[in-house]
Amino acid sequence: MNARPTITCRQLIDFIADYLAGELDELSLSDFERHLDRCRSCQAYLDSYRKTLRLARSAADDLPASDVPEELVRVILSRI
Amino acid sequence: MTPSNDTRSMQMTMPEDREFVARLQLGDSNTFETLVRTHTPALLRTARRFLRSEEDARDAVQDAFLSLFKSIGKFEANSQLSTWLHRILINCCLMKLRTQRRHPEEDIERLLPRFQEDGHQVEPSIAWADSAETMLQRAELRDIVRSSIGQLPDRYRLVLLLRDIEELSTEETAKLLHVTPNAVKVRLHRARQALRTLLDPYV
Repeated sequence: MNARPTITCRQLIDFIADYLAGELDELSLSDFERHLDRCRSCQAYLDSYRKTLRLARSAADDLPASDVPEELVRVILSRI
Repeated sequence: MTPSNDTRSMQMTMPEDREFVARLQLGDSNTFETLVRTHTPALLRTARRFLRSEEDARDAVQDAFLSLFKSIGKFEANSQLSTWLHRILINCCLMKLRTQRRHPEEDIERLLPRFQEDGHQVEPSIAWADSAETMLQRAELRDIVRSSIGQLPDRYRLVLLLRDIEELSTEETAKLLHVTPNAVKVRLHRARQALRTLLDPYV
């Protein structure tokens, strides 16, 4: 049986965004998953990449909501 | 994917009916005041993500309302007023950044993973033990995430904000930044990797 050579860690990391977006073609996806199954470092990298996205979305979203800044509202209304 | 809190809160609180838009188009000052009071807090929050100074963020919000006021006649009532205003604000923020960007940007390479000749990472990645939800319970980590996003060079920071926070499509982001969709994809992946590197010591 002629097994395809596995992709490298560099190639896997290059493919992560496309992998998460579901944009890898079937062959690349199979190579990606085959490497991932065997590589603890890439498993850790993918997991931390996913967590980075989650942290970025949540932290950016929870900036304290400000009250209506009266001074700014007055300036805007005076210019309209 | 869900829209950001700002978009959600505007959609829930904004009178979006045709009558409200019609009153705006007739130049009714009370209706404009309602519009400004309803939208300003959420718009200001968005502007603060893009712009580094409070003064610039407030200027951008003003510019967005003035721009909307000038073009309200062209608004088609079948689209969402809050979404339109939000897009105008993002444009105002980007215009402000374009006029400010005078210094050469820091290279992002130092924040990207490094590889040996055989393609293995120079320093193998170590797992982040906690779940994202557990990490988010740490207030200081949320601050670190925000300040780390702020440390990214603008060409990467803006793509991250537009794609991952504002949840615009690759094509919309490309159009706003005057770059190709492929450049957006490359920058987004680099921005996420750089942010991961900046967060790594704190998790």
